[in-house]
Amino acid sequence: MTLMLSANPLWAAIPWNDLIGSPLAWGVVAGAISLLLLIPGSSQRARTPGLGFAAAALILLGLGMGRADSLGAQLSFWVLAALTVGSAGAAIAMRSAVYSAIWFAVSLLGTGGLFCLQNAQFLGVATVVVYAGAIVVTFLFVVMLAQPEGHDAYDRISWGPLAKPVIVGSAAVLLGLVLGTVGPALGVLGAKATAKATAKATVKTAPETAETPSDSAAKSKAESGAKAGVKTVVTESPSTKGDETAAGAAVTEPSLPNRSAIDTIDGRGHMARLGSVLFSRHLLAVELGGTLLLAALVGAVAIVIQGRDERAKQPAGAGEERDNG
Amino acid sequence: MDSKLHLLMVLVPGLPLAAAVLTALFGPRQLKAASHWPVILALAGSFLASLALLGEVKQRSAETGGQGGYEHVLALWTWVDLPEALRLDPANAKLSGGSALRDFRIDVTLRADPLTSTMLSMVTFISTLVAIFAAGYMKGERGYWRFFTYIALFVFSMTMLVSVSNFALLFVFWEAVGVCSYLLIGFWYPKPDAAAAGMKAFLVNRVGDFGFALALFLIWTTYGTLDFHDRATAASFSGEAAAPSAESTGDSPSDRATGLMGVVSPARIKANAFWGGGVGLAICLLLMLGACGKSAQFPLHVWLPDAMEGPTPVSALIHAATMVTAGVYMVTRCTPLFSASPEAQATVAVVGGATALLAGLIALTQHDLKRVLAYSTVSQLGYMFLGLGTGSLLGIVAGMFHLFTHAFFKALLFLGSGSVMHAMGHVIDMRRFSGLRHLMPITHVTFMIGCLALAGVPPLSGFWSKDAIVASLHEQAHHWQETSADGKTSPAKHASEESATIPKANAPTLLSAAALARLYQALYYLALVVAFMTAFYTFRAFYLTFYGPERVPAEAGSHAHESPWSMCGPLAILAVLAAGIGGYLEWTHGFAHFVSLAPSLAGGPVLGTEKPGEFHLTVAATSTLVALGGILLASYLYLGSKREVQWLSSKANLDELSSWMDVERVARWRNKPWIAGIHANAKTVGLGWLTLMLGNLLLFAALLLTAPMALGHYVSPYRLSYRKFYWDEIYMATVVWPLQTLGLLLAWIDRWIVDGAVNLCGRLPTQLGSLMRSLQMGLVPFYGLAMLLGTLILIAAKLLWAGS
Amino acid sequence: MADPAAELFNYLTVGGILFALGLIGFLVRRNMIVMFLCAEMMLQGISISLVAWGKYHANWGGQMLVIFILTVAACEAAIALALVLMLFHRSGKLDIAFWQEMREDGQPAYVDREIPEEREEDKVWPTLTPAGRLPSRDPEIDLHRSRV
Repeated sequence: MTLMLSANPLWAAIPWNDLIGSPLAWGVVAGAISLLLLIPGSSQRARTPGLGFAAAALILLGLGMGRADSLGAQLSFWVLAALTVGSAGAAIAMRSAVYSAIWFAVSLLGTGGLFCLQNAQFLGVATVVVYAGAIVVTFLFVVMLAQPEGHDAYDRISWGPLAKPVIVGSAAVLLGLVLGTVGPALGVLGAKATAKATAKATVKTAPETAETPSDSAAKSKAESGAKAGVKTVVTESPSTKGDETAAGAAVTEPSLPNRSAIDTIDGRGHMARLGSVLFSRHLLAVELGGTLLLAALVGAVAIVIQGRDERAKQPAGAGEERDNG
Repeated sequence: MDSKLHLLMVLVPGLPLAAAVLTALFGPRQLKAASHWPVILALAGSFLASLALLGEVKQRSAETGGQGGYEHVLALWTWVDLPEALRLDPANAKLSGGSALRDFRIDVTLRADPLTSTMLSMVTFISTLVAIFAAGYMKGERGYWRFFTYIALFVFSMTMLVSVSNFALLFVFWEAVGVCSYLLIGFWYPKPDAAAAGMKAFLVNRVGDFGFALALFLIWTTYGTLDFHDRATAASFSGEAAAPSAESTGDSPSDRATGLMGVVSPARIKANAFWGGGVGLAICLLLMLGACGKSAQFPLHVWLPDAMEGPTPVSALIHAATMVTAGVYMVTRCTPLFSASPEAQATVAVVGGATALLAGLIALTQHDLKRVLAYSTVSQLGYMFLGLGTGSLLGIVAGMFHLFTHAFFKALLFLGSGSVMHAMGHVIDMRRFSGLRHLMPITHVTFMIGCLALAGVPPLSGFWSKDAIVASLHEQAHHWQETSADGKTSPAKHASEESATIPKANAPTLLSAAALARLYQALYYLALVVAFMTAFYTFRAFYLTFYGPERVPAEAGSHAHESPWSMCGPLAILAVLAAGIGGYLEWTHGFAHFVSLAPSLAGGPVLGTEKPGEFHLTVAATSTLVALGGILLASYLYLGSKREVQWLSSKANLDELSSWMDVERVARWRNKPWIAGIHANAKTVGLGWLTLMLGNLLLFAALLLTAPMALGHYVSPYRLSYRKFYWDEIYMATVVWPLQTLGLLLAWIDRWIVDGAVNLCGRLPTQLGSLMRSLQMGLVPFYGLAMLLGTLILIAAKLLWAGS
Repeated sequence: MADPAAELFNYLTVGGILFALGLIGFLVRRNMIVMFLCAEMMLQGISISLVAWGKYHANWGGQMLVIFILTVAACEAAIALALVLMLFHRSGKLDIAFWQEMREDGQPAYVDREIPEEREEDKVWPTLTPAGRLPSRDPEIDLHRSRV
């Protein structure tokens, strides 16, 4: 077992000491505690400590993330991320479906902002419009139809005595595992403290671990970080990226004209380029998506109509007999 | 010419088979109470055919008879053919003729020779009469058609048994008659006794059949063939169908050199190529074991009396006249094999003598009329084996002759007892009825004729055949005395003189001629004693049934009258034949001359000093006197007040001994005046406890001393005879109970360990499934949680174990 | 931002947290509407990650996928809401645990062992105007409905 563990580079690459010292990890833990305290479950809610833990979690997460160059960018990311995550937490913690929907809409606003920060302006706007404007409103309509008060006894409890802690714990472990493996692979998490260890591991398992470009980039970064002993400054990344993109495009789509111009996602003409990519390279998928939408529309209508027929056919109260049993 | 013979050979077994099929198919629905007609007609046809066959064979054997005997073989089809299945060792091959490589080939062959045709006419005749009798006896029984189907099937099997010309087929039909016997004994299967008796007969026969099967294996590996007859060449067989008949009379040995010699064929007898020594003895003893099973010889005799649970016609047909004689037939057929091994012949004689004596002793005290007859049958079969065991032509022919006559008078006696039983409402205990001679005059007269024949009173059949056996024993004793007096120390030498060319046969034997002389002398006296007992118990049963005050059991009801003509007719016919046929055949010498033309008897060492058919006045007179003595004793004891019987049986029962066992009587000593006086006096001086204690001690000692004497009560002569020498109990303790215990143990293992494992394999998935079932709780979030946990496990596995 | 990998990791963290929150909500909550909201939340987490990867690799793939996710999410919402309505019509509740009725025979019911008392200070709810026509009131049906 130990032999296997030491032989597995993924495992070996997780910087345990660093993770324990990382604010990110503690942020996840604090967030889990706050969720345990706040979301509806078998135990009574403790709002004040829960909110305290939530705030602590947000702050720790923010501290654990990498810094941007400029304060503005840093601030905007922080604010939007906090908005997204915080309101998402509120959405799952609310005992009223209406509140949940509204908090989710807020979270979507934050998501849209984050999209915009990443040069995905169209998506940012589309998310807000489609989700917050259409889907969430539909949800609200349904809530109003079905549950005008917006809350019920089953909104205050979960489905089993141990359900909440188990689920929250499992989700926290899942998140921790993902971040704990992706972070070191990207060379972000624990690069400082485990530079030597990573370098050793790389030397040891060199023949097995020469796979993905991000891996190799991380390794090179880790090595350079180990040399420099300071925070890694990657100078070669853009060129690497460019090479990769060019190479990938050359392999996959040699026939498209003016490729380089279209394929650049940064810069001006974002919408135009997105449109041309969407309706040229992904045309078939767009058509399929449209068909899917149509089918969903028809299907939804069919379901509702059929249900109405069934209800009409049944004698009064027959549909509710299940309720008694 | 041959085609007529062939037609008859096929008709004899074919008609009963057709009747069996017909009755089985149409009995239950169409024929119903008329089910006996096809069977009776077919059996009668079969009898006529066998008579015609007998005449044909008689004529042909007279034409061609002489050295080597007469046989005619009809091959119907090939049943098994495995080419080159056996490689004999060269010495064997030289002994057997033909090549060393032998094909395992069984042709379904019928044969016609004097022995077979005699048996055939006897079997079909008796079975015809029994079928007619049964039509009256079984009237109104449940399963009427079933009974006649079985009867027809049995006759087919029996005729095939004596017709086939191959050991393997002989074994097949040997089993077939066993099956029919089982079915017919258990005909009233709702009766537990009947079902148990059928099973007992079948299982005891298995022991004998096992020996028979081993004998067949030995014959195959030593002789390289299982055919009785010679097979000229393989090619001539596979040609046209009519070709394979082989008239084998006086052929020169050189013709035979190329073909295969049969086991008991004329060519082999002429060449005297038989195995002696250990192997020959083993073959003969195993064959004898088979014969013991089928013919109820000691120690396998226990099944036949129980077989009387079957319907009485069955007892008459199968268990007295025909099937039980299959062993005698088989030993006769194998006479050349037995001749090569004097020890085997002595064994046959000793077994026959022991059986005759034992069964005779048991028959003295039985109360059940049919059981007396059954033990008498066992005893007479022992007589036949005594005759066969002499090894001389005289003795063997006498055995066959006794078989022949015995079939008539024993069938007569059984049918007579069936008639009595029919009238008495199925009561057969002789203590419950008596004096039936006025009620059933025909049965009385015919039964008396049968009894006289069985007892061996001069002009009747039984006298001639029994006398022939006794005479042959006498002769054989003389023969060995002369042999030993001539200085020939070993009978083997005597035998091997005629066959110096055979290397292995007739190895030195264990018995000297003098010993054999003493043995046969003893058997001669034993035969006389048995003859006396036979006469006694036969007439005991006869007097108990038909004489004395007229008593009828309550079960008889309105039945207590003479039986219908369908039953009395066969009785009358059988009575005439039982009275006359022995004398007729004896005076014309027909039987002995004819049967001795069978190939097995027509050559080789069996042609001894004595020609059959000669009459020994002294022996005849002795045995007649003995028989009359038995009858007179029975008359004295059972015709009067029977006071002597009471006295005799109480003496024989050692009743005084049993009274010693009586605790009350011993305890009464205490009340004798002088003992009581002593006790009273002792009491006055305060020693009452002492006398009481002493008295009790003495009582205890007395009981301890008398206990072994009381045991004598259980082994008293009368009790031994009445309880059949405890053979059933001995078998129960030594064979049945251990096997039952083992069976129960194995059943337990099978049920709880083997089945348990199987059931576990079945239950385990069910249990696992019901465990998984509790996961199907219908909660969607729970399913989602399961997915989440599964994902976690996959990721953990990827991280922990999967290499990169 | 100076370090693309660090930036990517930031967005991946946010996406992961959003995904985990959605997961928790989906599994813990019993209201079907909220469960679907949480499913959408998980999709949002994925979308953020995809866009971040697209930025990191400087191609359109991420954004394209997110567009189709939007499409599929819309379809899903339409169908799912229709189904939720159907279920609501049948049970009169939005409670997913009600459908535990469909469990294996002989299995015990698992939910609703305890329902926490609602505290006074928590009993503050917004009131919404019911949408649509006022349904005809059948007292028989109302008896079995939780609230109408």
